[in-house]
Amino acid sequence: MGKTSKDKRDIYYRKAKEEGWRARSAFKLLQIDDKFNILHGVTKAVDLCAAPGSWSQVLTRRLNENYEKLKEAKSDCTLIAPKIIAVDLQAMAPIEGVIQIQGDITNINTAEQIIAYFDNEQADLVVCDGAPDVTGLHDMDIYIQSQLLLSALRITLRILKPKGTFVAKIFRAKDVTLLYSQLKIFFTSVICAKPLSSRNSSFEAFVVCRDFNLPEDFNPDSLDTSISEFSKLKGVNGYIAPFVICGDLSQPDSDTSYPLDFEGQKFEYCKPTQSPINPAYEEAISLLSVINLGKDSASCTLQGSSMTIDDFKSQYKTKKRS
Amino acid sequence: MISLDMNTDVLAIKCIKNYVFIGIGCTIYVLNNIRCKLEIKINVLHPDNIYDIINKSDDKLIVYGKKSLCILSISFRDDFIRIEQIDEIIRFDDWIINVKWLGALSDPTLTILFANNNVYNFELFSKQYFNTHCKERCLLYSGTIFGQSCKNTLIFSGTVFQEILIWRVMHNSNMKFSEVLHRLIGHKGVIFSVLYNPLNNLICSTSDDRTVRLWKISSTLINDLNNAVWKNIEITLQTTMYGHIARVWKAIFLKNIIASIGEDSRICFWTLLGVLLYKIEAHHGAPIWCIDISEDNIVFTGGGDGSVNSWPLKNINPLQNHVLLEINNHMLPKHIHIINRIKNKWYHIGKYKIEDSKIFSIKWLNIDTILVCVAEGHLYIIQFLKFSIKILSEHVLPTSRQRWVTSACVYNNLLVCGDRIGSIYVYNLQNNEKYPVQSFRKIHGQFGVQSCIIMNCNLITTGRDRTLKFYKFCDISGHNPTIEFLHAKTMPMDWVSKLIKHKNYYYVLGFKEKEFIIYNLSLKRIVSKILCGGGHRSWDCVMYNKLTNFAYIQKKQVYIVTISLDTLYNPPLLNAFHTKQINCIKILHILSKHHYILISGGEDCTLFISSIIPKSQSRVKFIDFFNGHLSSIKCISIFTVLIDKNISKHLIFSGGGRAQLKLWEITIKTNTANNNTLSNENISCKDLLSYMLHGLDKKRNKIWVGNELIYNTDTETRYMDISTINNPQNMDNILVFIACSDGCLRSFSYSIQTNQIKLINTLMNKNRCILKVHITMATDGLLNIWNVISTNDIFEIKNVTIDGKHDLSLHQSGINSFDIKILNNYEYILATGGDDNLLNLLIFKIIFQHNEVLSIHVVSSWGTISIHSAQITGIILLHNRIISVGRDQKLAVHKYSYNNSKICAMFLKEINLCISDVQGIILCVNQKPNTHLFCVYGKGFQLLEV
Repeated sequence: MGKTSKDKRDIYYRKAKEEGWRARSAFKLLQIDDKFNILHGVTKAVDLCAAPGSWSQVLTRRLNENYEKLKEAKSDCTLIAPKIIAVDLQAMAPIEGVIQIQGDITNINTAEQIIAYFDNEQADLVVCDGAPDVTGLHDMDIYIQSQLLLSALRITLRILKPKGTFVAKIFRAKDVTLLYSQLKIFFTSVICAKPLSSRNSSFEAFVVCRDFNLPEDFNPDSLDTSISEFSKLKGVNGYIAPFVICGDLSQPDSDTSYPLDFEGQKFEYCKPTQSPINPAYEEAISLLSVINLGKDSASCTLQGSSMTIDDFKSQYKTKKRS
Repeated sequence: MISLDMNTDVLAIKCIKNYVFIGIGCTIYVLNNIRCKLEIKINVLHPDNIYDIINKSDDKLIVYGKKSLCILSISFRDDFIRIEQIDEIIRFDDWIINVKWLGALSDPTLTILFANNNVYNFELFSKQYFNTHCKERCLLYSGTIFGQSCKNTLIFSGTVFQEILIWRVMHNSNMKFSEVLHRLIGHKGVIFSVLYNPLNNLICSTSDDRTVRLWKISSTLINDLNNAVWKNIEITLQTTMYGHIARVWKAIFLKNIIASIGEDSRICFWTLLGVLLYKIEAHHGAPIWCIDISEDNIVFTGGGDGSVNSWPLKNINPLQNHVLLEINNHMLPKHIHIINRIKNKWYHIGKYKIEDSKIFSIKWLNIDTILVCVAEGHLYIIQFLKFSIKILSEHVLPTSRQRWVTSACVYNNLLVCGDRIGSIYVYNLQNNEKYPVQSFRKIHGQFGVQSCIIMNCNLITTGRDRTLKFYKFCDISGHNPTIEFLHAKTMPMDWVSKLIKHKNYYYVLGFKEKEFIIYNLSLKRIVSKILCGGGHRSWDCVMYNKLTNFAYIQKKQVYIVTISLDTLYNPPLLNAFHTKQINCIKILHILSKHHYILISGGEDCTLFISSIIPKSQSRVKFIDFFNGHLSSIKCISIFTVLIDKNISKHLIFSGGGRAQLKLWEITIKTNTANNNTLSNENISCKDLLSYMLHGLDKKRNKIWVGNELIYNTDTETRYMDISTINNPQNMDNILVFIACSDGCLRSFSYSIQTNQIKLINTLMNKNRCILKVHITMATDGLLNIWNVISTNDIFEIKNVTIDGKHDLSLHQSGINSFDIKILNNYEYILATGGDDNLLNLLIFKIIFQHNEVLSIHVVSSWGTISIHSAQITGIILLHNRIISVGRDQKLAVHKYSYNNSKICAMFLKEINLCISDVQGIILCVNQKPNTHLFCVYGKGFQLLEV
């Protein structure tokens, strides 16, 4: 694939690199905020499954902008500067103004850590753009995504303020109504939002859940024994969340092909802002420079638990030389 | 509703005795392994897909997938098998990872491992269960249950966090959680499979990190599944194996061999020490999902292309290889030596000089005729007489840098030659013409033609451009016989050297890098690879009886390799279809009551032709496939040129990625005696042209000006939809309208006579991707209607106003499907389905105003958002019904009525579909009164009667 193929395929991929976002998904949150104003008045926000960090970038930029504007307008010293916490299992390159927690969202300690950072207060907003690496088996991908969303919801039940907002990625496919129904138990308003920057051909959409309200008889601890207990919460049967498109005709569309010199600007190639961190296939890929695994006879075997890929490579090279 | 036939990912395979049990979608197929015959086909898990089939001795089958499970009872009697569903489908709240029936048949307790790392001991009769949760709470992609009884069970679970956890199932214990006994750390990605083999104390795991790992259990006492013992044993990583180039889904033990399967379509066979034995590319690039081995050592695999293949597990090194003779001669050939074998002895019978030049090549044309190529491209056809030779004719090869013949054949009065620079020349022998009557310059690229073969009265040429090219002869017994190019097929080798037929199968012989390849064209499978050093050598290969002999020269020695053919392959149990998602299917109308033809295109860049035979058990039969698209095929439009009882002719316009439009001509003979089967011989497909909007893209993307790299900033347009109509002014002319992803509506004019296509209009509509054309619909949810004015010299497209406006907003975002019907003279009904879950019905009227400009008036509309919960991707309007399908895998039926200028519709029923990523639906035929046959497509297809 050519260096510019991706740039040609998707305008948002190109724009993200030009504007310094770590991923094109930044535009999705921007467009959701433009439509629903979810960032208005938010001082404490949590970004779950944050890596590579594009949503945290959006949160810092927008929340600080809002804060500066308010400060100018009111010159009120009681205003609180926004606090943003990003949680992910993976390490992530630091972002200014974002506190990072490297931890598991299913772990109760993570929830406690977040609340401690907020000086024992709960968050106004929780967002989650996490998605599994898709396997190609749609059923499986949809299931794993739904479990990820439920994990995010479970921690949200602990860390979100009453009336707070929760935004998360959802796959709009078979059985999505069950998820809508489950969310509807905890939020007065559940809307399915599709930003223009998300492709028409993609399953992806976002649930914008507002007005958080934990039912009186509901104890979040009861969900701790198992995530699967969630599956038993049924709620309103077969609820279909209203669908709302985010973004207007003035913004580009991710399905449309645009010339590289779009809007009169001369195209210049930009490198990706952030390359993937520790992908699973990293070691296998590093082997390719030594042996072509695609060949029928090619393989690499590491004996025991101490031999590493580098050992193999150096052995291979010495063997080849002799 | 009856689901009649289906093709999608094959996720489960189980061999029991002589039978192979296959899970496709929600259906189980039972095939007799010996006869290769489909015995039973039953829907067992609808609407969930079968992920695995487990046997409990030879009596019961546990079939499960997603959150459902069911038990079947099986009985074998001599040559007969019976299957019965014992109970209803049991549905759980969580995803099932693995199931075992550990106890005796009299103790019907199932052990079920779920994706949240918990286990049910589930009593089948009472439906009571005891739940054990592992202390480690996490999501599993895989896991295995091991034990002799449900009271003493171990779990090996493979987590999303790259670990394998070993823990025990508790039985009526008071403890809340089960402790993790062992934690195997080493994989760098999600664990896709774990397997424990008690016979050799090995645990085998596969992962997203593309490795297969073996873990050794060091203890002598593990047969006693005692908690203490398992706690005290040591488990160490024994080997890490890299061989796949994508994710490894699964591995199984086959005696002393491990077979792993992956996303890269390969099966790797390893020894227990981790040494790679060999690899097979098994499913044409589609992922391999499942594998099992039969009692007689045949490996079965099921893949993403919907096929099931079988591989004999024998010949790891079966090739007989021996040196025949040594030649050590450095002379240039200038003479022809003829040797003849009489009674097992070779006699030299003559030596003749044709011209005083080096002989470049000799090709056999007949039993007694050869073509000799000498310098300056002079060609002689020579016949051997008893004691002399006779020059029958002389010809001249057109000039080129490497001017010699590499292949030749004769058919009736035509001589066909291929040369070193990849051109094909046709000479008419009747008129004794020196120069070619037809030439196909560089049709095989620059590296030359390898062979010309006549097969079934057609010409096939092969070349070093990875292709087979098909031609037909025209007017062969007339005065001006010619050949006509039909289409090309890409082969999995660099040099395609020869095509031979042996016992109902076509084999393609050729070379890839240093190997000689034997490829079965009918089964689309590489049968054998022989390391010989590559294609630059003298060689020959013959097949007779069950043996293949391949002779070649390497390092001045002649080698012969003998392979036994039938140990090398078995035919597939189920045939392959598209390897990736299908984007479009269209029906080709022929006047036959026995079958219907489907043309389909998909993400795999391949065009398939298949037929539906409504009255047979497996209704969809694959006929042929065609390459030629550089990127995915997104849309197809069929234009019927000719249709009658005996023959029909159609033009297929296919478009897709890289702004490529291809045009094919398909001719179907329906007058053949055997009405039940349509085979390749009844159908011929001609690749008429390929039109790329931006031209061929060699070096198009990177342009160097001095030291500076300039990027080509053109748009990479995708063609989203095609619509064709006859030009009312000129019957030879077809107008082609294409919806493009750059927001343009492009119009082309195609002339049938000259086979030329020309861009005649580019209408910059909007900066939104247009999804559908007929009327146009885009990702902004707007509907536009156009009036096309085409006279001899004017071509104009004008927007038609809808109630005074340029467009009509129907949906919030993309309109992904539509259907339109004429109600009466001026009124139309339009149904649209969108990304916004909305199903819309619209009645509009065309108004002719006094100045003849049309306008549209919307009469009535109706819509619902409460039926589909995801994008609606297919709609069909019937007489009073509307059928819609969506990516929520649902098919909905509404009844509509139009009275007193008001349209309204009522929901009737819905059906869950088994195939995922639904892209559309087509109406196949009105088969019986009141029922319709539909084909829903996406990841595979499903044929159903509604």
